[in-house]
Amino acid sequence: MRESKLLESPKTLAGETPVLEVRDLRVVFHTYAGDVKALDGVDLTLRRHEILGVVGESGCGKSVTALAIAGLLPENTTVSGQILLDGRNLSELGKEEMRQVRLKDVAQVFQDPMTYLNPVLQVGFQIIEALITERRIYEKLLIDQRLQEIDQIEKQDTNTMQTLEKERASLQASLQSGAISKGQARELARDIAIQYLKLVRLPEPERVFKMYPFELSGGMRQRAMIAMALVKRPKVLLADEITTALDVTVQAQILALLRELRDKIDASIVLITHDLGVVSEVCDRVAVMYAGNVVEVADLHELFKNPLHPYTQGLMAAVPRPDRSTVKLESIKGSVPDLIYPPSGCRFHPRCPKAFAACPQRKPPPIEVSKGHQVECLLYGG
Amino acid sequence: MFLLIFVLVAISLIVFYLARGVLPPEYSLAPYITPRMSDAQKLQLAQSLGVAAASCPSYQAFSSHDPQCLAPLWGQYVGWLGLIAQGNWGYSQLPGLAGTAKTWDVFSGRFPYTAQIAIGASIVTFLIAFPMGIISATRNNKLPDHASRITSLVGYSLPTYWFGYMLQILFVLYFAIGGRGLLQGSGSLATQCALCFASPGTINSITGMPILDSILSGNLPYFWDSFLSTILPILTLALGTLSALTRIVRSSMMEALRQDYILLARSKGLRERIVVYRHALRNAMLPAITVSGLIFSFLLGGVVLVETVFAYPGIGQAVVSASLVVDINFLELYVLVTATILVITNLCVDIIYAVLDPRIRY
Amino acid sequence: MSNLTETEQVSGRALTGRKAELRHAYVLYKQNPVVVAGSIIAVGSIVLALLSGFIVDPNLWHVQRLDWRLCWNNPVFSWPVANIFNCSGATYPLGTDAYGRDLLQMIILALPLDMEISLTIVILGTLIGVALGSLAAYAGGKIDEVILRITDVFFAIPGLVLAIVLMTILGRTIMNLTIAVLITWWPFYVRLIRSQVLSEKERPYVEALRSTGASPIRILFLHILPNTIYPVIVQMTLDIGNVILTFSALMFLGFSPNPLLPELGNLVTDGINYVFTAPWLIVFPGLTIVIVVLGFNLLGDGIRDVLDPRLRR
Repeated sequence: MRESKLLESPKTLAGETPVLEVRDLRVVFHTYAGDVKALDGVDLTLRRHEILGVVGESGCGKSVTALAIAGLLPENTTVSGQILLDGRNLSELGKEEMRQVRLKDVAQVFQDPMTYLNPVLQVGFQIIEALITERRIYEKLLIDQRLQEIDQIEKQDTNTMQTLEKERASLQASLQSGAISKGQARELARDIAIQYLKLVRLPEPERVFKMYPFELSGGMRQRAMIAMALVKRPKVLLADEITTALDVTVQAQILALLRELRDKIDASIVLITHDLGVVSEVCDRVAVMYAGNVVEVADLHELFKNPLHPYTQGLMAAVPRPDRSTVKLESIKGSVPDLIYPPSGCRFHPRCPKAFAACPQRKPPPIEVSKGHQVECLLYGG
Repeated sequence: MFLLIFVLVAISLIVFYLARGVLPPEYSLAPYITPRMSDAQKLQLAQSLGVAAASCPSYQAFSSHDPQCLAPLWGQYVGWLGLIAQGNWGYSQLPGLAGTAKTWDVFSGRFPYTAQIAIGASIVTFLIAFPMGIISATRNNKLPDHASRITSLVGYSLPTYWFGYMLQILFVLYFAIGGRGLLQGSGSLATQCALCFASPGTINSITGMPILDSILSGNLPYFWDSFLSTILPILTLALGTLSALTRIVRSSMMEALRQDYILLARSKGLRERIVVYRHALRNAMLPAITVSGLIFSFLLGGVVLVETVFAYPGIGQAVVSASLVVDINFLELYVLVTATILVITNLCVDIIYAVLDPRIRY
Repeated sequence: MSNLTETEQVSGRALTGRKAELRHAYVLYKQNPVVVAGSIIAVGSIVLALLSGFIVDPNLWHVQRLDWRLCWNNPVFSWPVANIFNCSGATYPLGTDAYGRDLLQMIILALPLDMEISLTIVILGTLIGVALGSLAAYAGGKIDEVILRITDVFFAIPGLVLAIVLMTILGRTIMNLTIAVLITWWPFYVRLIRSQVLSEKERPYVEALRSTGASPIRILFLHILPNTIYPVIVQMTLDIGNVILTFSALMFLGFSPNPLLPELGNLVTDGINYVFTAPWLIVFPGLTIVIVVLGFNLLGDGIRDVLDPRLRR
């Protein structure tokens, strides 16, 4: 009854504008060793309420893409291309405006909750600190939540009803005047945080709220980080390798949590991982990245059934399957290229078993092979 | 608590045994002799203190180190402990004072002066080092960073006493108005400089520290003159510690800003100022706080040099004279008091650290 | 089946290994003007110290010429002091001191003494620190406790104060001075090396070595210590300067065996009585200390900067 707003979620409509669209994103890091061409024209589309998986080896640029979307790349970078959030081009925004975007619309969850949580601050405080510090921005969020709760409380005795009415009046006054006090914000934020801690299935959320990161287990910390990201009701959630640092059982729990949450929250998720198994558990669509390019995008089942790009095929073949007796584990020849001096043309060609003469000469453009299934490979045209 | 007692006992033992074991026994007796004692009285005193053996025939035998007169050190130690437990540190051997003023009085009279400049230097150190270190770290490799790094490196390399004299030369010789230097550069009350009041009057001695007492007595000219006389010593004393602390704050802030939780804080959309102060500084302060103990240690040592250079009447200046005449009791008192201060300071530092870092508490 | 040759398949990779590391370190070193300046000064002072006996007659400091005392006639620079004796035209670039000796020559003579004392203290201090520190860290338990408590006692007394007390008791000779400063300095090295060995001890390769039956001494000296050497080297370099500051301060306070002794702090002592009448007595010896200490500090910092990012990778 209390989790009203959290439960509603409209279904994705086909033909709706995607909530996040990345077009031809290029990122170059200027280091003392040379220019690292990390992203070489990345295209991604995230539809409303979907979970998009981004898979690739370490160093292929998945995290860089996430950082670029959030505007968190370090100083020594050159960024070009477009990042459209609900039609608004983020790459044109200045630092302060990007900060506002991070406050409201884009949330990130990172890999290792031990190092990503500040060890000297309480977990609960870290979850709500933005809500308090920037309370003017979150005012509506904080107050609406409480107003909804008040609406839903069943009729009680007159005394309690009167107190509730007074509270409702004062909250609405704050909403009108636009001035909410720090103490008020803290109270409201704390309640919201506890609800989300419950949502991510943390036991004894009031106790967890007061704990420090080192007092929690890895899985609990990761859940807290997820709650931290969701508390501000973002449009886009960037989940960067969130299960990588966890052991397998905990990993499964977090993925189950994600499946549970997708129906309850209003956000669209980009799930970054190097593990195909993770992708197959929760994602709707998958983008495969290699050396700064998105080489293939498809719906989950389509990708597994019909991988088109040789790299994807290599990835699939590399996964050991208990139902097939294999003598040798297949692996992709060679190693990840040096991005300061990347291969010419298609960046995968040195390792590609199906490469031919044209591959080093031209970078393959994205080709739509079937509905929703896109590849960047000269085998299919270009 | 345990540590305090252990350390003090250990120090007192070490210094005692070292001093009295190596030096001839006359030195152990000297602080307790008044000018008018007869030889017989001196011998009696020596024996009651455990400095001379009961079998010692005469004071002459004692002073010529007759083996009959040698007494075991532990006996002396016990005797000495008994005396200081009563607060009896004998008479000071400092030049000009021999036998007339009590060691304890000399020490406690001078102590507040040293406290003034030591506390002043600590305040200056912390007030300047933290902002400079933070600015240096947040504007890494830009002009403020380079400037602060160079100045702290140079400041760290200067001999304290030399810097003191440089300041003296600058502010008394070079910066002069009407033939008088801008500041006085010696003594604890500046009356002969261009900026001072020539006759500031008197004050009531309440805490012993002229700066505080002059405020409490309502005598502002005296306050001003006292204050002027502390500026140069404090600056000289603070230079080394300030430079060292700035470097440490800078490097620990840079280390903290590299951490992953800073990225998370930024990704939440927090203002940069909050990220730096609430997240980075909180963590960066920890190494800086641990260093504070060493900083106080350095300050207490530097006081000796600074007081000598500026002829400032604190215990640092007295220690040098005490060592020249080998006033054992004064030295021992000095060492014990300094050690007590340092151990207490370190205790406070540990407590502050535990307050800041929840991981330690559990 | 690939249509490309083997070489085309391998994308250009930088060479790795020791050689490349050292070369990279050298490149970093050259790029850092601060380190280069520091090493020039540091090496310069050592060279000057070694050669000083040839530049200046080492017996000169015994010779007093009181009619030449406290003069200054350097045309480049002058002091706002009345009545400066102008050395009757003889050339003394830095003037003369209170005994009529050429200040510049005294400073040059002082360098080898200062460097010698400093190096002795630093090297001995490191050796003691290595011995006790690694013993404490590796043996652990009671031995560790005892050594830690002992260092605690020493940390409770400010270094200068302890040195003063020791000098008072032991008497004023160079040897005693060296011993006194050494006694105040060794606890730092013990703590430093102890913490280095402690963290290195937990590394997996140590456990692996132990399981192959290597003796603790062998593990300690052949494996652990070489890996912990970098911070110690940095500290030693920095300390060469800091130790000079400490014992020159002691000399300044009056603990030198002979007021004529050519040592930088000692030269400043003579100047105390002439602060406003012959300031050069204080300025130049002190300035020399500043330059030498600065040189070693820059060098130490630079070594740390050059080595540190490498260690991180």
